Amino acid sequence: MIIKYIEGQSRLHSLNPLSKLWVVAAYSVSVFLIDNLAFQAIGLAAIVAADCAIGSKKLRLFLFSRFVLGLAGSILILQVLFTSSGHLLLAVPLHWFHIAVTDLGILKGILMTLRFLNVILLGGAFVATTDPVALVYSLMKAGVPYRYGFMVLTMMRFIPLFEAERTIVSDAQKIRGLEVDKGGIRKLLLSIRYTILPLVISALGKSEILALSMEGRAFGCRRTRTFLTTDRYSFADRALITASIAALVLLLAFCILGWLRLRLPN
Amino acid sequence: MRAVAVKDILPAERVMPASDPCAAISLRDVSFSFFSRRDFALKNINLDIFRGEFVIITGPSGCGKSTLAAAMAGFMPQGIQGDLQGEITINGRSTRAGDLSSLAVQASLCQQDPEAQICTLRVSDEVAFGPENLELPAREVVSRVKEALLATNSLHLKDRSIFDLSGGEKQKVAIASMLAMQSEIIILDEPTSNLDPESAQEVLSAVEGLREKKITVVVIEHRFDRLLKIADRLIVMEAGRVAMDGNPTEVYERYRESQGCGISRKPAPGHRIKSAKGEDEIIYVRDLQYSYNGHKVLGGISFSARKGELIGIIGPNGSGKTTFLNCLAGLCRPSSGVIRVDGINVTESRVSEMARSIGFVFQNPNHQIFENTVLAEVTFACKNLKISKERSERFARIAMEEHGIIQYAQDSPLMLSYGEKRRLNICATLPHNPGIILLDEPFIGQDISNTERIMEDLVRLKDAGKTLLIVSHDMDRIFRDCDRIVFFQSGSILVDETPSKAIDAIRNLGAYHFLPDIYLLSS
Repeated sequence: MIIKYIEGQSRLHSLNPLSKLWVVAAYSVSVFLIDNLAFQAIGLAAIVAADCAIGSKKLRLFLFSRFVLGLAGSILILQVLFTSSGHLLLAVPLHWFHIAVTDLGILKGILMTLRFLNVILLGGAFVATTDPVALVYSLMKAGVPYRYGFMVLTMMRFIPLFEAERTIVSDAQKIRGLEVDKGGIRKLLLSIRYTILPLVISALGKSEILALSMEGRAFGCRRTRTFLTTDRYSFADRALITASIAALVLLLAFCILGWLRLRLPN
Repeated sequence: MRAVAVKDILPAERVMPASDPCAAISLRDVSFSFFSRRDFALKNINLDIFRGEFVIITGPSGCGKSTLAAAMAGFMPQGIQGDLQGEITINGRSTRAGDLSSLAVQASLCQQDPEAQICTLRVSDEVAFGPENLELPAREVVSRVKEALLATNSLHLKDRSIFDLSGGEKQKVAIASMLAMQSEIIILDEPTSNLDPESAQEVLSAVEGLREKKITVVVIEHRFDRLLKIADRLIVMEAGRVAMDGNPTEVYERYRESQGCGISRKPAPGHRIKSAKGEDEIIYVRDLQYSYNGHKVLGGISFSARKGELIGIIGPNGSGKTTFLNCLAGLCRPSSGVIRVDGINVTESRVSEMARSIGFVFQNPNHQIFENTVLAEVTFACKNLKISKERSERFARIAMEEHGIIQYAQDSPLMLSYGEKRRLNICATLPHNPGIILLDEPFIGQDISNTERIMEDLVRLKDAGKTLLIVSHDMDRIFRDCDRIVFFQSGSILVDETPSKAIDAIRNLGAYHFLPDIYLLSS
């Protein structure tokens, strides 16, 4: 299941993309630095509430998708299976190896799962409520060199085109008798080879046209450029950016000073 | 209007005067070769385009028109790498001297493929792109965006996403984005080649509007009938040289004669092949419905075709023509309905099984070239269908002989010209002897003689008993050579008649853009 930008009027939608990016950065760092189950659980509950408040069915489906729940379950099981330290709660002797379930293994598993869910659901909320074009323009206005910004924009512009072309190329192979799903790995590799050539030719042609089109409109001739789009920072945006920066600075300072005890609760 | 006499091919040794000070663009003894090629794409070009002129440039595919357009827009020698000889000046300034940004405000080039030249995702961002790069004040950028969109009659598209635009709308946005640079010269390289007749008319109206703005306009086109009445000059290129240059009407007549196009444009009387018992019915479609992402693309299509029929499928972009062909080939699975092709129930068959009965020529020749040699490409389907090498090569050679590409048998298909690649695509559908050939826009990007050649090939295949369905926007040829015309609109077949009857039916629907030129003009 792929989550992408969903147009909407929610409070999260109306925030400036950069303030949301600061929050994502600060929260992601704190999730990895703070080994506290309560913090992780409260954070996760807040994110789920925010995701539900957006009111998007697609986002809700993503929250409870097999991908998210399956990956979370896998992380939990792997952590439990591969953590041998702590008090032994259960031992299952098998022919080749023994399964040992410890209290620390379970705690670590829950912690890692919560971390994963925190990051992925926050990311989902960010992607679902942030127009990628607005984000790139905001970054360029904030000082990211515009050549890099437009690299991302042209990628967003051309990826759907190349996807459509890939489908046509694949159809052209099928209607000339190439059956990828019947000939095993050899046919699959052959199909990839046959797909790459037409797509590379197309990409080269398109990049030549695009380069002429952009250079012909004075792209890259000046160090800076005008941006027609205006970035609005509301009080909430300014508050979020300030809080995020403060949180990041504090976390890093605590880390450096050793005040943040990076260990699991007993 | 400056009158320019028709002249013959310029001899190489002819001494040209220095650049005319009134010339917006001046080329003196210009030759150009790409670094990757030995031959010259432009050969000793001497040409002046004067301020305020409206000039059409035409010529066969591969004759150097697009290279000339890039030269006139100032991309040589700085933008395009190659060996440039001679001198190009734009408004009196040599292209060797100024940087690209200073040249960008002198001349703008709008290219053939609107899809590839748009670099942003919103219409207003795209039109503002050039002025923003020039660091103009925001207020000035806003005013230029509005002015440029108004000039191309597309202000209503301002806030639309690029992905939601039709081909014609994209081309109009591309033209507007060049106009926003406020260059004194605008060069349009085949602005209508990828468009349906209705969209092409929209774009040509916008181009005609440029005439009133008193800027210098150069239009490169294969089909330029509509522009002839407003053009000051028509230039014909041939093999990298200026072959004819002068009064549009005179040059046009000479050009058509030289291309052997003095043929009747009247539609064929056509005939529907009838079979009382229906045993020759090779395609049978009933109540075909197809939806994509909840959007109905085909709504209850019923259609049949018999052996040896040549059927032209026309209609606006997005009316379901290509989807219909895809359904026949099994590439799209219909929501409901019956499709039987050559006795096979398509909805229950694999696409690769359909390959024995159907040959499919897609719109872009490069999307269907997979092998390293022309011969291997022609036998590609035979190899997949497990037809013996000896037999497939024998039939491949016959097909290549008939389509005039046998001399390239061991060459890379990528070295062929655009027209030759198209003939290769058709050839590659033949050696395994399918009864039906589906062609999606086979004439796009082809010049007059290539188009005629391809059409002759298709008529020959029809005479050999094959059933051909051609989706095309080339109304003149479709109405002239097809047995039946099928007109699609909004996912339905509105007309399915012989060409002469289809003209009346389409006229009654008010879809005049889908008539051959002579009928369009009279309508």
